[in-house]
Amino acid sequence: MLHGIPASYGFAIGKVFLLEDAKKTGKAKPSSVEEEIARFRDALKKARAELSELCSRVSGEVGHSEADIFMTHLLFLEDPMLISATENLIRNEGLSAWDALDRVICELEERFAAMDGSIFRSKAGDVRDVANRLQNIFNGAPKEKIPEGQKVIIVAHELRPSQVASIDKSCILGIIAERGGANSHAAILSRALNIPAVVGVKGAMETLNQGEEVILDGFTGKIINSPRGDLKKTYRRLIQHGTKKVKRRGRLPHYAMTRDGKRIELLANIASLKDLEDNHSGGLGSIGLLRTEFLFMDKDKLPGEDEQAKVYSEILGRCHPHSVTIRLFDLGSDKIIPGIKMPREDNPALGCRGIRLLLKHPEILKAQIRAILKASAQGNAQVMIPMVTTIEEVRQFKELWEFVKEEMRKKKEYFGEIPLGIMIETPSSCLIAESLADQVDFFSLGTNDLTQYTLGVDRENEDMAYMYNHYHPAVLRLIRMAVEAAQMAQIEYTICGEMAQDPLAIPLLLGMGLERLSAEPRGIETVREVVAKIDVHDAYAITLLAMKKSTAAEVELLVREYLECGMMTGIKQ
Amino acid sequence: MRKRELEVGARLGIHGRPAALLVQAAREVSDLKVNIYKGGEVADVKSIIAIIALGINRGDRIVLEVDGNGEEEVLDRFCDILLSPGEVEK
Repeated sequence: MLHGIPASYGFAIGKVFLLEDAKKTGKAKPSSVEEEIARFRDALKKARAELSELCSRVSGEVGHSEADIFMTHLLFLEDPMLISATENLIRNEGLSAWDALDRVICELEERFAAMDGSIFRSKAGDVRDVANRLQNIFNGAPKEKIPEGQKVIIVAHELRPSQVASIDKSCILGIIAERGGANSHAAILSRALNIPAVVGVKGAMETLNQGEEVILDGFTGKIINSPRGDLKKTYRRLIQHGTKKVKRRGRLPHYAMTRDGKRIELLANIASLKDLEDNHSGGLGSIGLLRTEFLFMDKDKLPGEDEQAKVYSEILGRCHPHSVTIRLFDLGSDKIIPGIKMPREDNPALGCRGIRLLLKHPEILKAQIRAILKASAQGNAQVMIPMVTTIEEVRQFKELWEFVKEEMRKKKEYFGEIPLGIMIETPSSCLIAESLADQVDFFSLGTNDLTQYTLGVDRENEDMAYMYNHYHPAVLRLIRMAVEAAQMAQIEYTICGEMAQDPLAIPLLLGMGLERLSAEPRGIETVREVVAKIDVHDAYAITLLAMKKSTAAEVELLVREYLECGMMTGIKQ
Repeated sequence: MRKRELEVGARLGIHGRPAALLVQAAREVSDLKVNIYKGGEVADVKSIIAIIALGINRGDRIVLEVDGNGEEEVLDRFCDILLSPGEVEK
């Protein structure tokens, strides 16, 4: 099994098609300077024509903003600096057109790759994409051809946006790339084209064989090679289910039932009103995670309490009588804060973010608390504190919380009873979960950050993404610790990370005693389907075994074998 | 020659769309010389590569310099692009 960064949601099962990079031609013997310059200019002209065509095709088929990528590539081709640098090398050093261009591009790649900020670094890939296009023109190389009439999962070192756009999309079941992040152009394009994709999968080209069958899980970034029997059937049904769902818009219950009849609550993670609409078409109930910072990301500054209260009221009202767990602004780290100047941090993931940032800016926190309290009359709100690592943070927050409530009482403003909870997403919060459980009404497990902090791995770092793995026994043990603390204290506990929608992780979660799973609206039907196959007693047994394992690979193998040999034989039909 | 100092407002920094808009705007006034200074570095606004290589983030202070006819109007135009927060990508 391979791991990468989930770039575009969905499942795919199919044969691997390895997309080799264009071969580097050896040093071509240059013809005369004038001829090489003419070749270079001719290639530029042809590349411009290709790109213009691609640009209009993508803007017609996909959308204008996706076509922007190719606009930028066009501007690269026309860049006076790139052109003069290449022509100077041809003139002054007698290089062939390709060698000259290659040297210029390599320098640019290095320059971009050394920049601060992943967005700037990703431009190195764009420069290379443009260079590959020119090289193909120099070589007269044909474009990548998928065998006629076949549907495949494409595997590439780095998927260039031009490749994604130039391949007939009806042949692509899914995309796997060794390089690239969740916000690389190829990732954005595959989302726009609705093709499941996983990027940053180290070693994919070497490990996977041409024509081999794989399962691609675009929800959690997993690639399962050579899947057998029942596991394949399970995923196949998930895929069918996914396609059927579009037609069926009836109301489904906001819970799932295990095979042996245990009820598992299904909740949704949302970040906008639009998500809420998608969610309601599935007829689901509670919101397990409302990411409030995303509601206002497009504003110049965080809105004041009245504007916030309006938005919260609307969401609470629409979900009523179901609950909405409102996570306080989880800003900092990679999330830019509208209208606040933050000092630059060398290590933002370990810096001022989540509740740390909110406590430093009590004016923001107070406004949000007031807004939530004001909105609380409209529905069933719960408040959740992000990124907790210490008890003091919870106490400080509660002081402020009570202070604001007292102020409102004095002004005779009405507000409802609001349960208070915390995100469990740092190893420290798991390790002191018992003490934390005394302070709050509920836990919500954010497994994405928990996995990153526990393993010390930045999953956005494409070189490290392969180490990100929520089956790691350390992660599982921390989750169990938090769950047990919540059970002891008899407070509610929910899981809202990606793990909640990973078909292979769900047996482990149920086995640990989780009864509330919160997933992206698009992933909820998957969760329902998987839960229905699980016998809770099997899940307990598997989890006990998993807890004794010492590596992630052993845990994976265990769950996989369990699924493949069909001990969960709800999949007979 | 005219200069103007400003704080960049583009949410995600200057690359992609804002960078492309700058280059296109520079082409429309091709008889003018437009430069951006950040720290000790300078970029000719006609070159998208040079602009991206400056690594301009939201909140960075930069200096815009125009040399030629109609400097004020041109400065306004480029400032608009650099100050606009732009679209949100999620």
